Amino acid sequence: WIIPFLTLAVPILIGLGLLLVPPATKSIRRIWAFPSVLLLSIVMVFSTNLSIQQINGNSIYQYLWSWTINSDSSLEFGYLIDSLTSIMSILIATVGMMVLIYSDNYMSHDKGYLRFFAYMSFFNTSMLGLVISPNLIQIYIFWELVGMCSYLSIGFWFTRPSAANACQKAFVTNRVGDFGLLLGILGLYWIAGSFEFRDLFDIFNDSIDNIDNNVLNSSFAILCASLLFLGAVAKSAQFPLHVWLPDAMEGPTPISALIHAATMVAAGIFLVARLLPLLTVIPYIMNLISLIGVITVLLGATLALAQKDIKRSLAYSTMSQLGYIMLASGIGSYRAALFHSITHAYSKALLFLGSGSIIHSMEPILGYSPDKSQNMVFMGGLSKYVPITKATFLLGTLSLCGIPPLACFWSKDEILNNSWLYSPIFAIIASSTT
Amino acid sequence: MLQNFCECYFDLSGLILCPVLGSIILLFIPNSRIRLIRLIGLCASLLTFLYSLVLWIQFDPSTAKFQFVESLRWLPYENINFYMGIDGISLFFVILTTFLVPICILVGWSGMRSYGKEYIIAFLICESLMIAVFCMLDLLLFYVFFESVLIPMFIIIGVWGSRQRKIKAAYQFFLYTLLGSVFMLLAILLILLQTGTTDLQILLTTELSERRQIFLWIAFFASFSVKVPMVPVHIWLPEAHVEAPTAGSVILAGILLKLGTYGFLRFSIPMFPEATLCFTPFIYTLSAIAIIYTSLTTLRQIDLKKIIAYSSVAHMNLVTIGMFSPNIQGIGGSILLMLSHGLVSSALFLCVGVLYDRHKTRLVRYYGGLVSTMPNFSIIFFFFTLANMSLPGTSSFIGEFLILVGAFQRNSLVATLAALGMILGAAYSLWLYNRVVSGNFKADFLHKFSDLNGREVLIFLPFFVGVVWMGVYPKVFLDCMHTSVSNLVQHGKFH
Repeated sequence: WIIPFLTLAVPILIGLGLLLVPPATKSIRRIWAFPSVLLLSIVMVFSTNLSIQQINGNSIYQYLWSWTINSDSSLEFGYLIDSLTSIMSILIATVGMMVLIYSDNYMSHDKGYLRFFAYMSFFNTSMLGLVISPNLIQIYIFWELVGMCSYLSIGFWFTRPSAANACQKAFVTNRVGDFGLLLGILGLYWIAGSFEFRDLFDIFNDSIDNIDNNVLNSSFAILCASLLFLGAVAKSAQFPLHVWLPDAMEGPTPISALIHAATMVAAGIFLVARLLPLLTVIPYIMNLISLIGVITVLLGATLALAQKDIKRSLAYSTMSQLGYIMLASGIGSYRAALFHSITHAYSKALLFLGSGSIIHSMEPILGYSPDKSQNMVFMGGLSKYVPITKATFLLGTLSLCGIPPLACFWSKDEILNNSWLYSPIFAIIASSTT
Repeated sequence: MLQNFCECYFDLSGLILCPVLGSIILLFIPNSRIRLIRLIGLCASLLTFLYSLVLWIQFDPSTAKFQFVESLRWLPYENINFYMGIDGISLFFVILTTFLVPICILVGWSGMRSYGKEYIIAFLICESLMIAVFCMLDLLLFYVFFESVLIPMFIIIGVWGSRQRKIKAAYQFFLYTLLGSVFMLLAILLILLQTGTTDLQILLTTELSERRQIFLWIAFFASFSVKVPMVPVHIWLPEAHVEAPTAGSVILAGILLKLGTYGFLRFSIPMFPEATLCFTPFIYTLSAIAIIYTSLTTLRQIDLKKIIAYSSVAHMNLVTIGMFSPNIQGIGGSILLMLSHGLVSSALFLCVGVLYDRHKTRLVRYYGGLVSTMPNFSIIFFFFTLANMSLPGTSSFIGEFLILVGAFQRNSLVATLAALGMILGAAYSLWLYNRVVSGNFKADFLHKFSDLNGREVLIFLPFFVGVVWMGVYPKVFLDCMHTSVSNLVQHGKFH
């Protein structure tokens, strides 16, 4: 439980500091980055420790604390650590830490520096809480909190009307997904009588054996699962509910790196991965997931070609990659999906941070409005001036394309392999958009 | 010894009389000494609040029987007495009432209004009448107090409201409610003639024929549905809210709306269980329509208070959905949502009041970019907007979630429609917040730049604490009401 709540300490401290002693807090603003990074690195150490234990022993911890008890039902609060959790938490911790270090310098001249760190830390908290959830209710709680954090973060520069519109669009689209998620949770509760993952898996496994007996059960189960998937669709910007992702680039670049590369969009993936044992028994859902994944791949890649803004093209590229991951989950290759999500997270974060550096360097020349400084039309031939960024950006791009021996090659290859086995059409589409 | 003292002296009649005593004292103070008046009013209401907290501490959550029961004779011929008692359900409404009234008095602190003394007296009288409503176990007296609450509210809206339309709004408010209540009076008389008593505890054990039950249920419904408010008869609420002063809106949203659903919970469902089962689909339909309709209507409103008023309607209809699902989660969730709505809507009305105090307009188009000049206010407004949207971590989430769990088990279509209201709720609440707070600062219209002053922060703090407490640790509340609620569910299922 230390994992999520340690990073919660930072925004609380910042918030209290701002409330009670604003002048003092603001004057030491640069120092505030330090506890954020420190706490997050402690978290990272913990999660690495956990995952090493996992790899060695494959033990699963679970701890539950009763939150509300009625005679019929009790909602519990606690954590569940297994291999999926530990991998995700390392991912979040490391990417978050890198982005925090980056944003210290990036936002150094910004008036809302402290607020930024508060939002980031709160976001990390929610995300970590999400991955350690033992039951669906807790996932829902942290899911909504992550959505709220994204609202605050995207609308960071709230005086810009486009940012204000964008953050609202993100939250409302997210809410549509939450509606599906909540109904799916309730439906599963009705079928299975419990929110815990273990119980759900057991009950579903049992009901497979006598699936012929209750046909009604299966169509209702399909409905519930597709509603749950709706939640993931909204969060991970899959095809129908992807509309918020490009506009979400109104936020500062480190926010884009954190949210859209690494974590928030991965929350949807996490949900699907967590529920995969549940979903694999329902073939319709798997078809649906892979179908939407493929559509997203195609859509994202095509739209990305037409963009002028750096961050927007990266956003569409993110969307496309997430489609890949969904596709992989949909065809059942759990490992490939997770592997690709990890590699993609790192590559995309790299790309975003690189683009942030480019934007910063363009700003003195072109002016501070994002219409100009992010506009790729004005860039070109930058390698003379920013060689380091050029090298890292190139690495990131190549990695994302799947060139060996960089990271994404291995994961993409596996996805393409598996999708060929599943359905040649998908594979052709997928490989053509690489 | 303290225990003894508590048992001797702390009881419900004292609780009801406390604000009345305060107002009597106030009658004797000349109108010019406004500071003393305010102080005495605040003290009286705070005293009542502490009194109710003592009752909470003394409350025994393990039994479903009514506690602190007392009975005073009123009409010995028909055997109608002032029969008062609290159980797990009414306890929290009483505490909510005594919690909100000191805040209302604090709201009117700056003394810029005329008839200051009468203002505070009206609120105190209103408080004691409202507490009486929640305590009464006698049907006729419940009706008396239920209706008499309208009188101080009518005066509050009519005298201290902000525009000329207030007279019309006050009349509308009064007459709508009264019309429904006439039917309830007839129903009560029918019960009296048939069973010879209006005592609730006796009535709970009498069996009425199903046809009779249906007829009585409809009559009660006529009265309670106006108060809830349910869709065809909800029109009075936006009007009343817009015209009322800030503190009046707080009381209206916080407590008066709960009177209707409390009436359902206390009287309709236990006394007429077969009729309830019969009419549940009807209520579900009306409530589902109401949630979606009012949420959509909110998107078109231009007056800040109307937006929050319509949002109140949506929440209260979610409460009725929960209430008519015959399981513990549904009813427990509905009570929790009622309490949470009392806190959240009142806090939102206070936010609007803060804006109105400064800029004297409630139209949304004149507001924009407030976060530049009022950052503290934006934080607080944001928090209560999130609570309105039922973000997890706030009390509304628990209530709404439990209601949806309960409703889903009864009828999944209704639960789906109610959850649809969740999306719409997020849409309008967030849109309102966004328009008012983010974006460019409209310097043409907004000339005052002061952020929240200390008194206003003090007003918001209890709401904040309450919402967070109920959201993060609702066990305290749920445990207290658990026995009574399960008793209610059992009673309903039995017949």
